[in-house]
Amino acid sequence: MALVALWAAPAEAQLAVAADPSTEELERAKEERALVEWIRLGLAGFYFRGTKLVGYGSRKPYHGIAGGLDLTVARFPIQSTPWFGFEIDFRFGGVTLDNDDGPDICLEGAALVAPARWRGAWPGSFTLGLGGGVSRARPVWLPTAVQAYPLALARLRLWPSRVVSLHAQWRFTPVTTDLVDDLLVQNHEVEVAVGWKALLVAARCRIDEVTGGDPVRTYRGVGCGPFVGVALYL
Amino acid sequence: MMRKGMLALLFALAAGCSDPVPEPPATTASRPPRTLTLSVELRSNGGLAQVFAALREGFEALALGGGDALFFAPVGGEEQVLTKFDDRYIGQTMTGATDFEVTLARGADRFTGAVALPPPFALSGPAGPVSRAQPITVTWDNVGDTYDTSLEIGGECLTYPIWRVFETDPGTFAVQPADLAVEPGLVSCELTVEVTRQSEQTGFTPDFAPESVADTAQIRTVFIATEP
Amino acid sequence: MRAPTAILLVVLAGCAPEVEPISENVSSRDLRIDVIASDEGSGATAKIELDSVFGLLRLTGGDTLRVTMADAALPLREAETDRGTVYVAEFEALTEDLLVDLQRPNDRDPRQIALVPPPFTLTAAGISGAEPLVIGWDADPGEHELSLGLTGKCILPIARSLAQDVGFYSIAQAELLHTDPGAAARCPLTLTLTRTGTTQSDLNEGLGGWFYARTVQSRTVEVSWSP
Repeated sequence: MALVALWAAPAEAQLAVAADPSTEELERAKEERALVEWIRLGLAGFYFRGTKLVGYGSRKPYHGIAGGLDLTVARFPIQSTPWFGFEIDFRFGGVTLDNDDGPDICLEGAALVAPARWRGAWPGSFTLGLGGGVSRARPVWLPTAVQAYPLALARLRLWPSRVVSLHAQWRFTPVTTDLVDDLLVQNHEVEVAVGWKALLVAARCRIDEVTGGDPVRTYRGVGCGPFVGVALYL
Repeated sequence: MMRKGMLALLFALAAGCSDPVPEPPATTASRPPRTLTLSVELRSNGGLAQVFAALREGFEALALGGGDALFFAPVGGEEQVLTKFDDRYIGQTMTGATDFEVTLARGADRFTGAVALPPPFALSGPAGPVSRAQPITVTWDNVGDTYDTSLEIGGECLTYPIWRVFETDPGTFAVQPADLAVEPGLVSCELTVEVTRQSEQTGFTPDFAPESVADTAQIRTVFIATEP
Repeated sequence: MRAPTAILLVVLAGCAPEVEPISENVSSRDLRIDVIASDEGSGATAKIELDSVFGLLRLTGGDTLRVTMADAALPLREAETDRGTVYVAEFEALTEDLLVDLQRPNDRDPRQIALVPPPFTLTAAGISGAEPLVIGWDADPGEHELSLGLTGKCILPIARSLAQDVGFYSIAQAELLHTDPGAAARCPLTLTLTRTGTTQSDLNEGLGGWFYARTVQSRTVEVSWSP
């Protein structure tokens, strides 16, 4: 497996600029970009349950469902700096909590860095990201309708064969604008996916934790659900 | 010719489409007195008698019409005409009499109802100021149990008045200190004690409908100054 | 609500989480404590309810309820009612104010006093001749309501609110309205005098929650007639 180390890249990039890239080199660059770039579109659903804050600091169980369209674009467009890229994620759907329902919209962006890409028997990549987003409040029972937040992500991809791909992702929000209401909101989202050619099927789970109220408690919610869509590796 | 006819038709239609003229109130004109229900309310404080009279057909209050007039007088005394007030006719006279007549005059014809007050009585209380820490006794003439007797204790200094209805006429009542809800902060308080002896008479006049009714009452009041 | 969502929720209704009415899930600031205490002269009871948006709460999570009168703790037992769990104390007499103290390891400890009107002895001489019914009790001009009730098979019941607690009252025989106007009213009568104290206050010094107490002292005597 040839690991393309981040510290070796600048020298190789300079050599590449010095002479016109050959067809083979162009093919290789394209394959390496495919390890980290994609456009993914699909439908996701969630069933979630947990406890929510009511009144000044009382705790009440809840459950609900959410679902909708999910579009992700990850690109590493600058050839001179192939390690750095960006991602945009847009989700649009609906959510129902107990007997209350409404739209569920989310727009996120992140700067990506892919410190490791390898070829060989199981080509793959490891990507890290830092960014932020704006969305319908999560968990949806929070008093504010909209929240903004920073986020961090890590993604591992493997291709056991030319048509089968495996993906694992962890996404973390450490704090949101709900801090203004003395509520510390954090969420973790984990996704494991299997792809066959362009078809992608994933399982997602998310944990929401809200700390606040009087007395101070942590209100936890867990949701899981499927994702089905298509992925284009650019 | 055609144009004049069309104009006439248009005016006729316009007249029909305008707001309806309200019907005049029903009156006693031309209605036989035996179909009229006479309602009389008569009260006296021993020196002034007040009357409220109304004529109805079914549930409908009637205004006097067609030259009809209502009169009121103590028996053998001077007659006075009753004045309209809302849907009733009212009047008062300075008298201590107990027997009265209410008369509907229609031209030369007169239709009369005789109305009798309960017997008069005197009400007395202690000369003030008296202490509210002890019962305050009022007394009146007891004439037996033919009439309904009730008592009310009021005054601007009380948060709420007190009513008592008696099974029999006791001729006396002791106002209990525990019953007096005097406004906080007040020291002196003038109580008003009112005793009412009342009676209801039905079918009291053959000239009007059998449903005719007379409610009569003798009312006496004393004022008692009190202190804690 | 869109149809597919509604259908899914109906299907998932069986999975709806149950709300447990337990005290550890409710903040002291979201709590209402209701105290109903009464003494009819032959034993007293006090009932305490911890009310919330989830209904009446059962004490859990280390929360304990303590009710003391004259520095002595009243023994409380848990009882189930239609509305939920209540805490009941049965004791000899309601003589002084009740201190209600909810101790919570993970929250504020609300502490309130339920004011109790003083106990009294009620006396009523029998009715004889044409004399009125004379009633006596231990006077107390405190912050409580006083009411009187007189019932008997042969009279229309009398219910009066007394404005002053002066310790004496009388009811004339003419005030007893007969149920059968033709008959003489000579049936045994039951006289009840009641002092009711009410306390209402914020449970947590202006931070939320509510405290309500109704404390009742009532005494009853039978009244007989003699010629």
